Amino acid sequence: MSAIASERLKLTSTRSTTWLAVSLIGIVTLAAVVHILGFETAMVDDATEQRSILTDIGVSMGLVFAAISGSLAITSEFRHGTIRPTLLKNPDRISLLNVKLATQSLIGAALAAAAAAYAIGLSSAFLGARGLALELDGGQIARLVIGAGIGGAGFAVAGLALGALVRNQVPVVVGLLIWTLFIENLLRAGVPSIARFAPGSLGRAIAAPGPGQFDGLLVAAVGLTLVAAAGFAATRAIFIHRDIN
Amino acid sequence: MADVVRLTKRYRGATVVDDVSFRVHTGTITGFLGPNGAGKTTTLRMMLGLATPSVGTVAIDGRPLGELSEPWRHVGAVLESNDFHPARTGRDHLRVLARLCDIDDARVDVLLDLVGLTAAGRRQVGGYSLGMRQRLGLAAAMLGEPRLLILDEPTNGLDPVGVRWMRELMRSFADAGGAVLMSSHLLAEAQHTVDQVLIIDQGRLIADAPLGELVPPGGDLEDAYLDLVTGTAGAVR
Ligand SMILES: Nc1ncnc2c1ncn2[C@@H]1O[C@H](COP(=O)(O)OP(=O)(O)OP(=O)(O)O)[C@@H](O)[C@H]1O
Ligand SMILES: [Mg+2]
Repeated sequence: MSAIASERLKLTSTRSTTWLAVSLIGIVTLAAVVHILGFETAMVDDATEQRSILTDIGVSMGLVFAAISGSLAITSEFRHGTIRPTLLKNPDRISLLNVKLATQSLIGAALAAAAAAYAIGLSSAFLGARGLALELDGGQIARLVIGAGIGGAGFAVAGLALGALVRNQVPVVVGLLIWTLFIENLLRAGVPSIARFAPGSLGRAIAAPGPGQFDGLLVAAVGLTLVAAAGFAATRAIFIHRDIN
Repeated sequence: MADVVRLTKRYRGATVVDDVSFRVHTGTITGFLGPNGAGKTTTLRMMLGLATPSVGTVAIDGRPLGELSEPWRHVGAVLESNDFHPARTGRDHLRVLARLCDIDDARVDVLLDLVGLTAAGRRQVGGYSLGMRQRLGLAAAMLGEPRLLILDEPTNGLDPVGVRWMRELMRSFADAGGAVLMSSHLLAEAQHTVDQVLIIDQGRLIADAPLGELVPPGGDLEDAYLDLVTGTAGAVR
């Protein structure tokens, strides 16, 4: 597929994605230092606590970065003007977005799963250094990592959809950060019945059960997929008709 | 080679391109002239499928752009001189586009050579001069060996050597059976370059004639142009 080969070369011929991955590792490291090394023993020594912390510092961060990666895939084309030469060679805008959907859902899944796996590994080492142990069983660990991967794919698609709609890079990235880091938390505190349906809650629910979330992994995964797919379909319909200056 | 029929573009009630029809002929260089804001770039964007006409149609080689299975073989274009990712090398910029057209890297190197960027092609575009960017844009436009080149102010920012190089390139392209449609504000330069002249003013096409018809022997394209657009020359919209 030539369009996929082009998209892949776009990603490998600059270091943007590498920088995103490096920043993610840095942030997860910092968060693990604060939470696992910083918190008192009573707050980190049982499985429920550890699972909840790992969802916060690994999964959630991975989801945010997956969304940012998805959004950059299209906003950087507008920022640097490469959208024009790209569409001059292949005017089929649906194919452009579909190719980005395919590549970004893979990258989003990889980023988020890697963030979760790294958080688990690092936390386990930090706990060991404190004379504690990681209390999660294999199934719980697998669900954190695989769940983060599934959520990351959904978040990357949602980010791509938002980017294609707004086009302007800075507002999109700032908007994604404000939404995931603030608005969803406010929703969770204020209107928990609605907050369950928010993408962040759905993403976390896939990776681990938690308060104010859907219980089933499957329900949450289907929910997030629907949210991302609906957003993508809606912005794609708008994207193909709008003028490009 | 390109047929523009009754092309019209309205932005929230304002008509910026108004019932424009013309044809670009094989073997010619057509100059697309007109004041700032006259509607040149908007017309070119509609021809290239980046903007949707409010009214009217464009056919490239007899068919709408969206119906051409390999559009890059029909038309290549440069609209902005800086449509590059600054951290990507010039060569990688071309390779990314070549992938889209199933064109191999050997053709990329041929084009880098043609536009004089063989050495610079390994460097990031962020460090390129304006002239180098214009050349890289042109290489991208010519990647698919199109028969029609559409260029928005291609000599803008080029030094005298670059201007002459661009003129000779366009000429040999047209002589080889291609066609060029280029917008320009540099009338003295255009007079050296073009065969056919289109003048657009306030969205309306006010001239479509061979250069020799518009400009009397020994005359000036600038005089002919100013006669036609005098009422509005200098007004920035
Ligand atoms: N996306 C847009 N929305 C609203 N108005 C627009 C848009 N794009 C262009 N215009 C308006 O259309 C008119 C024609 O603009 P255009 O860029 O086509 O002119 P031009 O002939 O290329 O001018 P210049 O010589 O300065 O490049 C201008 O008045 C411009 O403000
Ligand atoms: Mg213009």
